[in-house]
Amino acid sequence: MPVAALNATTQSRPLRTSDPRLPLIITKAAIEFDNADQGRQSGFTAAKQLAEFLRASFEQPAATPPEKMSLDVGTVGIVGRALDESAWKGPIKNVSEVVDQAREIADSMGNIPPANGNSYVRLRAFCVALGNSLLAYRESLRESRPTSPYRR
Amino acid sequence: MDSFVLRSVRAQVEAVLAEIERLKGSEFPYLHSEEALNELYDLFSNHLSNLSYESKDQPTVDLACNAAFASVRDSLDILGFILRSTNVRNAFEVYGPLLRLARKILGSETKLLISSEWYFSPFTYIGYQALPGFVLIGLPATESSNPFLVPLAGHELGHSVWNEFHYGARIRQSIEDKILDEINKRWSEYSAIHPEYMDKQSDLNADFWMQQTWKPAWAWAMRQSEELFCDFIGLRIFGEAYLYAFAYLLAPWKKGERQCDYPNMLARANALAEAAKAYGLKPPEDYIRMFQDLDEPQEVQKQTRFLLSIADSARKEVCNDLASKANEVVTTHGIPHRNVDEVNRCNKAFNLMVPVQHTSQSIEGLANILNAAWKAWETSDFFGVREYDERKQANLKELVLKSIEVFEIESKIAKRNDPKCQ
Repeated sequence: MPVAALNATTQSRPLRTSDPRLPLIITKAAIEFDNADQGRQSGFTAAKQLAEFLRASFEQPAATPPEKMSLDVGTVGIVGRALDESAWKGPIKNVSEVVDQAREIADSMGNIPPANGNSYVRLRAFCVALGNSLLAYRESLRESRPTSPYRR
Repeated sequence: MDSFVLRSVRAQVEAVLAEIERLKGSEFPYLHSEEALNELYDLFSNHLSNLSYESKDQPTVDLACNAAFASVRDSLDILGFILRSTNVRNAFEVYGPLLRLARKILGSETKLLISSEWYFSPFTYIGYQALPGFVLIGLPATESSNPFLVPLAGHELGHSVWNEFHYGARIRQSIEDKILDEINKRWSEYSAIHPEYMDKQSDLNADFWMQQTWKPAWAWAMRQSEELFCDFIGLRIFGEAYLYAFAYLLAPWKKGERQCDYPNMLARANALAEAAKAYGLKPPEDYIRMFQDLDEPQEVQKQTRFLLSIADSARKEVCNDLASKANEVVTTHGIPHRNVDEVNRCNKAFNLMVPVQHTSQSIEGLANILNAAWKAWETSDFFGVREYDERKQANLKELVLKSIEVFEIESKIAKRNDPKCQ
């Protein structure tokens, strides 16, 4: 199934965890890997956008030692939980594992191996876990917003 | 999730798309409301496309449903906001000047929505999260035609500035360092809440699951810093008028539990007063005394209290830096401070019950008008004629709105006559 493209205005902006497009793009990426797993053609447009988001979130400026990397703790939490949930490489223990595995996935998504069913399934599982982790994180922020005392 | 849920969510998305189509038929005074609807239509068309995909992998289908449903739920607020942007209660006179202001800082592609909310709350939409590229300014419906509150638009603009210029990324390491420092200093308190990590102090930042224990403090400190930065942006653009508008809306807020995302009231007022002095402004006398702290989380919420106190400490640490950054970004984009002589001249015009003419065509002209308005509001027997002073606020509102209209017309004429723009 062809995946509808997002319009040019919104597509040109870098993705953040707060961006309304991110859950949509993650879902599209999962669908692209599902498509590929079933032997259908897939352009991996959303997968590449997601790869870019992961790369930008975990990029290490040149000459920065890993322990001095400035990471967004919120994004680390979202991605780390997704890695743990999807068991990309077993249970997550350290932040450095999150960084390494996120970069590895970004590379995999950016250079999709041809006709590799197992990797499609693993990447799809990661996308699903990432989408769920992001939605749960957003829900936790939503709960901290004030509501009217007259609302039930 | 079974097919019933899938069909339900698909129907909900279709209903949103139909509603957007209906809303497009409204008479929008500005193009940007329609463009916002188009963005949302695009978003939901994509969700519908995801929901129409046939997969045997149930988790993928579930994700498509969850993501679409979250968007449906979150977008209704925004759709209502867009619909209300058509309402004549809004102060449409300020649209042009505020759009120019936003574009001066954020670039010529910036879009603006001015609307109202049926909720009396100082907590407003964060435009860049709902609709990237848009600045959303909303005041409670009963106040949406009140030009005295226009300076609060500076705060909302601040959220877009924060995002556009990546201020979050610039301060997050300082916030993280301060939080870790505080937890290390208060290790016994942390260990009492998380005894499972008592012997792992050295892993505080390296262990992923330990990081999750203090992540809320980091997130709150970041949000608090963003809010303060936005206050400083409003203050820097609109001067003392921002302090008055802020107090008008927030000073009566004296009861209830504080929000973790915001500094408590006194801290926020103090930060504003300090920044005002640094910007060469004169805060109203007894400004801080207008405010009162809200309650901290209850004693039983030990973890929240602990993390919130740490978030507060971290935010305090970056407060001065945020005030400097706000000043820097506004100055860099060519927005001068309000001009005291011009404020006095505008104030005299109001006193004569005539709209201001020939104020600076630069955007600080708006700040001059608004500061003159608040100065008049604070002057007893301002008009010196009893029947006028009895309706002082109503009279001033009319004068201010008319002055802003004249300011906008004069700006357009000046732009037309400017050889560089021809």
